[in-house]
Amino acid sequence: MKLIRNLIGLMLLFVVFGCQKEDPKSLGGYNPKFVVEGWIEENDYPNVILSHNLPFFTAVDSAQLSEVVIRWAKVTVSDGVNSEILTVKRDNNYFPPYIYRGSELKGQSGKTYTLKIEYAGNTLTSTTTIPPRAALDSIWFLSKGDDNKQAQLFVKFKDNPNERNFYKLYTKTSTEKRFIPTLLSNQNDKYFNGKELTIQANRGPVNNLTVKNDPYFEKGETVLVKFSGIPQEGFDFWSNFQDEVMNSSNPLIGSTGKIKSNIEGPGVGIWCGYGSTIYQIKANP
Amino acid sequence: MSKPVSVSIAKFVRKRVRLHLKFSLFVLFVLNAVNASSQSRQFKLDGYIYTLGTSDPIPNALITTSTGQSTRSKDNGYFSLNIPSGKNLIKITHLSYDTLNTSIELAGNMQISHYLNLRSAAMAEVKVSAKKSNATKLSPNVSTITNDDLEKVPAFMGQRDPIKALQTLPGTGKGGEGNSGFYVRGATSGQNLTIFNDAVIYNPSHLLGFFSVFNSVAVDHINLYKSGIPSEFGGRLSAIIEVNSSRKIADSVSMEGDISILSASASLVTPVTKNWSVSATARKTFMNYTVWPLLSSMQSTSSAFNNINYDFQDLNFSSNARLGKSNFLYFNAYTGGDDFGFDARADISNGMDWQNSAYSLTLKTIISNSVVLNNTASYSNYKFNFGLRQDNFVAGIASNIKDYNFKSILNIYLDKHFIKGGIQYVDHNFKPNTPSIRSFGVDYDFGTPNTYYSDESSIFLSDEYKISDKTGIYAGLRLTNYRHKGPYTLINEDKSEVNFAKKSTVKSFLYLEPSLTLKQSITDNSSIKFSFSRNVQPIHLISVTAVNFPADFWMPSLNTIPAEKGQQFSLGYFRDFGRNYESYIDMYYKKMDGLIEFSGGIMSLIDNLKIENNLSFGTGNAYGTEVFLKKKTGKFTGWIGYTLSKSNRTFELINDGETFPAKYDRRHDLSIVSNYARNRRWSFSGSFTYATGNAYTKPESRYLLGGNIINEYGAFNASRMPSYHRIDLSLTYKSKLNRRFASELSFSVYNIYNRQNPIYIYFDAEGSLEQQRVTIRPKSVALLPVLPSLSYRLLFKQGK
Repeated sequence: MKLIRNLIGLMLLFVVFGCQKEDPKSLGGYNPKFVVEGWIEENDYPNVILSHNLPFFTAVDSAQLSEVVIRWAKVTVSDGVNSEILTVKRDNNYFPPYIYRGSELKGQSGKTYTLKIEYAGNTLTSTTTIPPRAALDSIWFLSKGDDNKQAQLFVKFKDNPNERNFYKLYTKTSTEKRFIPTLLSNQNDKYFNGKELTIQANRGPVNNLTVKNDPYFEKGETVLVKFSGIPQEGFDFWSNFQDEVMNSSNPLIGSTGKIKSNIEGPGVGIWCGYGSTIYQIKANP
Repeated sequence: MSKPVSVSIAKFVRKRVRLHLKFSLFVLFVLNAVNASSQSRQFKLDGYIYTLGTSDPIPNALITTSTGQSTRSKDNGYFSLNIPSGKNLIKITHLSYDTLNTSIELAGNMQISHYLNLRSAAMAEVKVSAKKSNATKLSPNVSTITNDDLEKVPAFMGQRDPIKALQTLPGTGKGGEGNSGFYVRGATSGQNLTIFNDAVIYNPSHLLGFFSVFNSVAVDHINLYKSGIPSEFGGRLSAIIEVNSSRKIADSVSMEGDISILSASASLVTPVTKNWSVSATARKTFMNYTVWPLLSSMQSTSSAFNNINYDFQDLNFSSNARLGKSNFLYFNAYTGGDDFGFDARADISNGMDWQNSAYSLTLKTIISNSVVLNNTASYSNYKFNFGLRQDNFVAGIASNIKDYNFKSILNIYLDKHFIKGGIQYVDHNFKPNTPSIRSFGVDYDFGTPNTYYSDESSIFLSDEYKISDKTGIYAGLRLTNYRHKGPYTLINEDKSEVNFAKKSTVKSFLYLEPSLTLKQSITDNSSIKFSFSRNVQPIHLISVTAVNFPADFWMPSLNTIPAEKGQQFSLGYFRDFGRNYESYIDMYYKKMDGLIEFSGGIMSLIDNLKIENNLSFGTGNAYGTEVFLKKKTGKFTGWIGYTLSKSNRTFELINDGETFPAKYDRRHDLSIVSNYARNRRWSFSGSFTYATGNAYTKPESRYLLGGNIINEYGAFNASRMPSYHRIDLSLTYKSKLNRRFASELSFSVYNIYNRQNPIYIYFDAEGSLEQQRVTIRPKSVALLPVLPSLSYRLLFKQGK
């Protein structure tokens, strides 16, 4: 029994959960593709950003980045009756900072729009529809964060029971150039058809180049809230996109490596119609 | 239930029999030569054969004499022989035990018992003794070697684990760091059947693979069948892992407890009456108070894992009773659960928990010395929950499989035959993916959860036939009728729906699972063995996570999901070198079809999708060579196991139909385990593990969209994770405190040279597009670095 008193193990433990760097290896099978990000909002002109993909382990420097953009393509948008060739303009709010924009054909709810891109003998096509405009019933903030010094956004809306709806929610503050999707920004009414839904929204990261993300707003800050109705192809793409951006580093989830694009031809990306409402509100809980 | 009998033919001893071996099985049966010898005055020698240390009866041991007589022990270990008077050399052999040679001077009828020592690696069957052998108990009639393999493998944080010990043997691959899977001969972990006291365990691991659900204190022995699967088992393409608690009726109280920085466990065995004893073992980790807070304080917030919490507990209970002279009733219960959580990036917390329960009741009836009947009823339940929370948004998936199982086996021991016949019925109940989402008080409506019912009714018969001392054959057949039952709504190709009522048959099919093993001794200490088996697996483990977390779920075969089918051939050469060394080389080829991959990730399960509409099917093959060398005696003991192997898959919808390596394809897998026992108090053990890295799919290109950098992935499983390797060491000091108490203090170091073996690799972009400076790096998540620990174990045994 003597040794019993001497028992109870000591504790030596060094646990480090680490990340380690690895040497980049081969370039592998790089397969060149066009990359399309196109949108047409209700009562607004169409916009298309066109670029191409890059081999994986090349260094990304300013030369590479300025080279990805394709500025000389013929980009045509048609509603079946009228069509317009978009013209390219520099816009530093986007990256790559060149955007094809229309000036005649405005989006209308319920209409279907065809995108055609021609460049160096390649043709890409896609179609989308602008769904009914989505609207919020109420927007409010609650105190959150350290010592409740920040504010969290809440929105409420009622789903139309007679329609198949998909939604996307964004925010934008004065420091941001674009509307940023909230953290879980895509909604499918398959699961709440006809119900009233409250969303406790967290700000999403500006992009996946940073892990820093503050889910709240500063109190008193002016916030633009954008709530969009999107078509099924938009929901499919943006849900997959969100999974890839947010979860591919999560060992539980990983990447399925599949983003459901609606671009036909040698390209990836999305051509999507939006029926949006934008609200401006001060973040005052 | 009876003691397991090996797939292979037992290692028959040499006997001077003239054998006319032809290449026809039929002729083999006919040419059963008998050696006639003249006999002097005969006496009866009888007795029992027991396991050393546990005193469990050993059925089917072969007892041969120098004058040519032989017999096999019955299910209760009993044997009887008529042999000439005078000095007789007796040899007792069994595939799973060290051979015992002894001499007996017979002047009249005599009864004597013998004790055999379990060995770790035999032919197709491997036994791992989870209890310490007690060398001091050696009976004068036993000439055995203390060879407790489990003690030779350095214990992780002081916890001995029988499954980890099995994984050091060739052909039984590890999945890599943080992976609890058990990958036998190029198959997946879902193609193994793991049974604990006759009840199926669907997820035999606690998290990250550092512990299996089998607490070594509650385990008596494990049988691993890699090829030539015995016909009493079926329904899986790969290995059978049969874990059994002790069936001994204890005659005195014993207790054991251990504590380390990770966990504590305690066990108690006590007799209730002379014919009834019970035992209970409980184990609980407390890492949420030790490891994880320390970890959280040491890591940066940008890690893929933050604020980890994880603990598990398990409980075993056994009751062994003798009812009258020839009936035994065994009850076993296991229940264990895990709870894991961590915060991923962007303020999202993930959690998962899972529970295994397994209960079994066995009635063993000794009808005569040659006939034993085992009837077992068992129940298994595996539940799994995955959840994701972001403030008031909570999403989850629950998965569940539940089995009711009845099995009846009749064992008949004849002079040269060991016949097993029986029936089995299994009723399965599946709820693979029940999603839930609650957003600020509103529950999303997912409709009725997917639920499936199926059953399997089997009949089986096998014969282990000793044709001669050098030649043996095992042949078995299992016939199963599988049914997918209602309620179920079948959607036809033209989208018309057919509703099936409860218990009606939606789909059924019959399948045969034959098994054959041939064994031929070449010399006294060498033999070759060939085995073939064809197996069919009507239930499927669908893998959904990027690493082998237990989120994988089970599905039955349906109209649109065929059964998995596999055939395996195996040819091995086995040789002992004196009493010190044993070795083998075993080659295998395996062909599989009906393999399944799920086309989505775990996130797509947070949806009430019909799993059967999101699967792709393919084929696979695996082949390899296993080499094993073991030193059994002396102060320095240990073994080397090496496997050279390849495992391929071909799926029409994956990788453009091109063949690709299986995720756990291992070109090389090496384990070296050694133990140096300086004296009875001090022992030192070390192990080295090396394995080719897992195959994974690497991004080959990227693009910019919405200000993000998006990866595009290349050929499926075309890249390799870094090789896995690690050395563990441990030093143990044993002391006997007095007649009743003994203790054991061990110091172990896991991963001594601090190898960062990654569990997962992802590709992360950092920088700013506007500043036109972006770096993208592969990042690997490694788990445990060098990890020293100390554990203390105290054992108590009541004096008699």
